[in-house]
Amino acid sequence: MLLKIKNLSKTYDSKNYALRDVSFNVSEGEFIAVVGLSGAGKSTFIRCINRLVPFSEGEIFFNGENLHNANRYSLKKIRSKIGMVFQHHNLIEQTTVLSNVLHGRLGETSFIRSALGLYRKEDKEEAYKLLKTVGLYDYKDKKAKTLSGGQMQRVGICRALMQKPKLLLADEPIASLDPVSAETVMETMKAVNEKTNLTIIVNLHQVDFAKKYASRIIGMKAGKIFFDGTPKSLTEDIIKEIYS
Amino acid sequence: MNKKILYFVLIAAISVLPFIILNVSLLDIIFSVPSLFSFLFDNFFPPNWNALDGNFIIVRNTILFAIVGTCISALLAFFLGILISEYFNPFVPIRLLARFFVSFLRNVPIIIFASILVFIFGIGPLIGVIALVLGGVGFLARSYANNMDELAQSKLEALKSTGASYFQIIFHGLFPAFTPAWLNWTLFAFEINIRISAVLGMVGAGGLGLLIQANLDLRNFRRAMALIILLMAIVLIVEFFVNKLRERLEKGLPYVPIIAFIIVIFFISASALNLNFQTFIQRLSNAPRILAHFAIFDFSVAPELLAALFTSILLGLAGLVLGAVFSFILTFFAAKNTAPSLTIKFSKYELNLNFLPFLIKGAIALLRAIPSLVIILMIIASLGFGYIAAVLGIAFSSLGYLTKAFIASVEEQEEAKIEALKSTGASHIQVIYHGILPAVSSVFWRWISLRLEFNISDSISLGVVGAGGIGMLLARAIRQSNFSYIATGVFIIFIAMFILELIIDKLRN
Ligand SMILES: Nc1ncnc2c1ncn2[C@@H]1O[C@H](COP(=O)(O)OP(=O)(O)O)[C@@H](O)[C@H]1O
Ligand SMILES: [Mg+2]
Repeated sequence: MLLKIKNLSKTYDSKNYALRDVSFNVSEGEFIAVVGLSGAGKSTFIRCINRLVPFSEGEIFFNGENLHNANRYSLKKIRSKIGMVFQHHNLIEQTTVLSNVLHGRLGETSFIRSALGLYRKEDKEEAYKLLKTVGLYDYKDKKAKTLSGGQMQRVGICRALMQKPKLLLADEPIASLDPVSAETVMETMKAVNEKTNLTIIVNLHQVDFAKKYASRIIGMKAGKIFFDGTPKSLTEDIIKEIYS
Repeated sequence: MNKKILYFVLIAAISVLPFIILNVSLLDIIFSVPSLFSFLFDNFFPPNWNALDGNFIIVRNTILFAIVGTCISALLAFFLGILISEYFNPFVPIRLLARFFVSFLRNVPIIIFASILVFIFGIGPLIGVIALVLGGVGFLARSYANNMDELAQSKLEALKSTGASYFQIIFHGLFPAFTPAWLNWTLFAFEINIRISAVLGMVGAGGLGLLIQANLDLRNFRRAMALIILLMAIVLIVEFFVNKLRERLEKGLPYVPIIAFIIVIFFISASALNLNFQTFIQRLSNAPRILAHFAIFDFSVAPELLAALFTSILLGLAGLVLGAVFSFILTFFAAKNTAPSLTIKFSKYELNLNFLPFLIKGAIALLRAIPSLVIILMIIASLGFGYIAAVLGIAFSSLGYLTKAFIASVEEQEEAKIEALKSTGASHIQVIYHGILPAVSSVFWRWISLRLEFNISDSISLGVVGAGGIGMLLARAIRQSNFSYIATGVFIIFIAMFILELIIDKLRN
């Protein structure tokens, strides 16, 4: 079991619960899509997994390690094994595409080295390789802000993959992309999942994309898991329920 | 990469050279800070509040100067702004003349204007108001003109295409479209003027500054401190209300009543100041005769003046370097999105340092409330005359200014980008270095270059209050009524500041 979540709850204001008693397990190689209305708790859920948001109650075990007990140092180690892709790609736009990809190695690189740009040779080669697979190698020395939305999102994926993660989290990675770029980004993730058996959890609000790419779908509603099953078993009726 | 190294070496050289040429050691400066603070605590505290007795009128006048000066300059600068604007003034010679005039006003430190104006208008409140008007016009006209040209390119084009006449465009287009920016810049000028108004007292305008300086000179430090605290309170209260007003305006408070209110306040203040318009006109009619004295330059004294100007520039630069370095460090401890969550553990006891950002921001707000010349005077009073005191004084006022600006830029950075780097397992310092610095560094340089102009202006002014550099030579010439010497000095300052402005504008782009 790669990820074990037990009775996870989260409240931001100690009144309303964004997550309520969420439990579930993830095995290696799964491609999970989390769907639900805006405000259902998808982002909160995904951010609890790498503790970008500290959770209120419950337990999360990643690779056998208890996240709740992790101190600052071991938390950094855990985070460096979990890649994350964001809706607005969150690249550092004033720096080059290559540096943005190399940021994925920050957790494994000392400050002196990263500040002087002295990343290891194999890290640089890995970055080139990843950029080639997403077709952006020729852009490596361009400022990130000169890329299109879809291209930036692919750079964001490279940054996450650069971490050599055991788990990839993605929070609405295609929500602000045009349909064609959205397909490309989802294809990229699917390819990585199939080729390297990387486990992926992705928040989506388009059910059709979830059905097309995921091996398992979780429907969230008001902070709770409302549905958990294969894409096939997600019927129209259940979809209506989730989105009502 | 090579370019980076070149820049680095260049900046390092520019940072170090002033200290070497002035022959002041960085260590001496840094080690004098503890003795400065212990002197301040021992001698300036507790403040002697008796100093405030019977000085109500002076305090009141300090505020009124700023109100009246700002209002008049807002009006004059509007017309000058139109004259400077490329869109509204197609007559190139007039535009260039207006530009030259405004640039002259902006580039000669206001305290030097004030000391020369004494020749024409004599000592008294008139000087305060006129100096503030001149300085205000210099600052505002350019800001207004930039804004008008921007508006012309975006909004006013449409109006022009309807076939509206020149005056129709100004009345129906420019007036309503420009009002928000006009108010905003004017409020900004008011915040600056309240500080300047306090300082102008030192050169004969009467006001809080004169009292502070007199008490410092007589080494009545506790009395001086009471007055300084009063001044800080005034500045902070003014800023508070101006900020509130700004927030309201942004939320859609109508402009017309506000402007009507400002006009009423203006007339009340002007009449309370007892400004005599007839005296003004009468004195003004003498102006050409007196100014004629200044029409003769004496370039034989130029080398002496240039050397002193060079010293003033170096002092401003050295203060800037120190101020910028420390602001840079403080910023990341104080900005809410970069402040480390520090806890110090002593076996069982834990000390949480999360109050640090609050503490730094508070200290910076207090520091900023003191006009830079007053800070410099306090430091000179504590450490004695000399370059160390001058550099430290300029460094402290740069620190207040830059830290606030830096923090604002850092806090503007999206939390999401910080989050993205955190999620890779980056350390705190890596998040700052790779995530925030690339985004803010160009803004930081812009603030630093802006501050350089202020600093040099301050370091010239500081000579007038007795601390060396070109200002001291000018102050001596003013006491001796040595007109050609003053004229040459002002000319040299103007040219130097003008060149500096050009260089900085170039660098910014
Ligand atoms: N940083 C936050 N502070 C306070 N409340 C938040 C914060 N983030 C999310 N919430 C609240 O938590 C609930 C779940 O939000 P979120 O996890 O963003 O849902 P989703 O990603 O499914 O739209 C919402 O009610 C939202 O208002
Ligand atoms: Mg969300």
